[in-house]
Amino acid sequence: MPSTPAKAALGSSFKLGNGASPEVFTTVVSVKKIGGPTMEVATDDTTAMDDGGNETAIATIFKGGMVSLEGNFSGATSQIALETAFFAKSEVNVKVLYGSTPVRTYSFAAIITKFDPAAEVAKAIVVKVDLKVTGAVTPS
Amino acid sequence: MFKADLRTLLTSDAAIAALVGGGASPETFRIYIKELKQKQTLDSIVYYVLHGARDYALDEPQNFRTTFVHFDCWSKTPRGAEVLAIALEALLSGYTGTVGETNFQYVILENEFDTDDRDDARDAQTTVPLCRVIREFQVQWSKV
Repeated sequence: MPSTPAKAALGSSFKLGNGASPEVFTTVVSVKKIGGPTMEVATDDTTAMDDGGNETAIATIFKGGMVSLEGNFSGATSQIALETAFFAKSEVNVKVLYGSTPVRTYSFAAIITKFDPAAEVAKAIVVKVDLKVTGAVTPS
Repeated sequence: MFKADLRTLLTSDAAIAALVGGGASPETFRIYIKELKQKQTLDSIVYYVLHGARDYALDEPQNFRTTFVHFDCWSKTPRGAEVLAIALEALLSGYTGTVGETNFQYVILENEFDTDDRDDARDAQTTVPLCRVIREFQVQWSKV
C-alpha cells in the first residue's frame, strides 16, 4: 500500500486583510517562501524535590511566534499594501494557507516588524517580511 | 520568441550590420542559430542558448527568466573575429530595452575567451580556416 503522498508547496499563500467589515483577504503575490507562525506553548518548571528526580512542567501561555515571507518584489498592489501596513505600524489580520487541496489555514492578527527589500545585480529584486503574531492563532 | 527577438536586436544594430549584414533584409544577415552555415567564410555570428533558469513563486510562475547565451564570432583572421566580438559586446553589455515580445531587463557579459580552433572550423565544412572569439552573456528578461 503506497504511503500518503507529500504535498507540493504550490498554492500555499499569505493573505492580508483590508480591515473592512466584512474583511476581505487578498493574496500577496510572488511569495516564494512562507515560514510560521512559529507557534509554541510556554511552560513553567514545576520540578520539586519529591518528583523522584524527574523534571516536571506545566503549560502556561500560548505564543503565536513569528511569520516570515520571502519573494520577488515587483511593487504589485498586494505587496504595497503590506508595505503600507508596515509603515503604519498597525495591527493587521492575516491568513497563512498551507497547501491547496486540502488546505490548512492559520488566521491571526499580527504586526509587521520587518520589510526588507534587496537587489543584487544578477538576480531579481526580492523582499523579506517578518510579522509578529499578537493574540490567538485560529487553525481551520 | 526570445531567440528571434535577440536576433532582431542584433540585426538592428548598425555596427553589427556593417560587419555581418548581408543586404537590406535582416533575413540575409550572417547571424545563425546553433551552427555556422555550410561553406560560410565571411564574418559571421553563431549563437545558442547554453542554459536558462525560470522563476516560480507559490502563486504562479514568475514572468522573469535568466538565459545564458553563447556567441561565436567567426572571421578569417583573429583580428576580424575580435572586432566582431567587440561590436557584440558594445551592443549587449548592459543593454536594457524591449524588442518584439521580449523585455530585455539587463544583459551581463559573463565570459569572454579566444579559441584556436581553425581545424574545428574546417570540420564545420567551411572551405577555409576560420578564427573564433567567444562571448557569453547572461540575459535577464521577461515577456511583454
